[in-house]
Amino acid sequence: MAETRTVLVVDDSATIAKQLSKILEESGRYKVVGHSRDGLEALKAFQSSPPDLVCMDVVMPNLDGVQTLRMIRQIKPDARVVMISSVGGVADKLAECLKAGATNVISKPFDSAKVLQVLDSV
Amino acid sequence: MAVRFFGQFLLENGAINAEQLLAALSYQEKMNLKFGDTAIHLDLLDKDKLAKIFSRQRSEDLKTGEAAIKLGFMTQAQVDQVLRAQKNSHVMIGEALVKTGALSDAQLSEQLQAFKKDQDAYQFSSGLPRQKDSTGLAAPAVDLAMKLLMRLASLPVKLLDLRYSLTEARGVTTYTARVAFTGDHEGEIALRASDRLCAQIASAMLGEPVAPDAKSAILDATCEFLNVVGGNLAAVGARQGKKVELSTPRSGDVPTEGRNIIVARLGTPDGDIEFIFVVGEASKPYGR
Repeated sequence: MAETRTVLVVDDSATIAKQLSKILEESGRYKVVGHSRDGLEALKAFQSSPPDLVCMDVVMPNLDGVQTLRMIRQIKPDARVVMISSVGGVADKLAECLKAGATNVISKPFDSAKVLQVLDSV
Repeated sequence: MAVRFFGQFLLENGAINAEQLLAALSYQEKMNLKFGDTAIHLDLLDKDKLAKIFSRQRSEDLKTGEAAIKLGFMTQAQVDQVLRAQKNSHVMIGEALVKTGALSDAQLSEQLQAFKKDQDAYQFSSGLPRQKDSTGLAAPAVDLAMKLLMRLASLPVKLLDLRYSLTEARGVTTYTARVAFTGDHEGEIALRASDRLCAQIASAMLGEPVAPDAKSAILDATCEFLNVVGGNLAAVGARQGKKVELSTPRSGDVPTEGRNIIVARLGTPDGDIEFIFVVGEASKPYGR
């Protein structure tokens, strides 16, 4: 049986965190180990126990997703971070995420098949 | 399914990886000249004038074309000539991916067909009169809100009418979710509906029952719904060459003073939803 991968979900929306957690947990392939509501919380959680994957929003209060991504990559240069954003359709924003080290970017609204397809590939 | 940039569609579907997309974006950046460089290339500006334009832009929020006209360096017709030249020589991301070896011509053609099919659902058909939509963003915003209400909240919605002022909601308890946007235009999108209908939207988004008095869960879900509308609107804006960035709205009510207001009344079997588009500044049609 394939190993279960741990995921940290970072989104200021409880709705998105719940949706994502449900998709990931129900697949049986992922275990959500935490939900951070902004970048600062995410950095603390990542430092205390680095997960296999991070799923993170771009637009967030306090420390946004791109800045947080850069810091996570400083802590762990090979960290696997998938951005989940409603602004993935804007080329400049997408480029900013990729330059900061995002492994992939999923657009909102997402469905379970797309989320799992992308996460399984990283 | 969302309004997407072609490169992101390819990345999300695993047709290319992040490195290949970055290489293509970098190729595009190198090949697609900025407004000032194009104007110099066409002998409509020189380097000294461009430096003066940049200096002016540091003290005033102007696009390069606007600053060139203000400083008397270019006429409107010349600005239009530069914009046309930029458009005609623009290297699209698909072409850049072929040039950098990420895709073959045949793969590009196949992916473009799949992309077109994916995006067909987001062709806009709002009945909003053009003269009422000074930014060109209100019509797609209304249309996106309707499509996403159907898609995310499984609500059959119908555009009942469009109004151009915001009246107080009476008779029922309502929630108002809001998301602000900045960039080339500043404003807000908002959604106002009865507590029962908002709870229905939140339940659909969360995949579990939400009571009409669960204010925090309802506002979180409906704001997230608007974030998705706003993010997709930003993608539509980017296609029109407009910058739209989402932000947190100021506290208080939806701002109406000195703003253009469009209220789309959307009918559902369980009552009406008001989708509100509020915008301040007029359009800025010049290139950066």
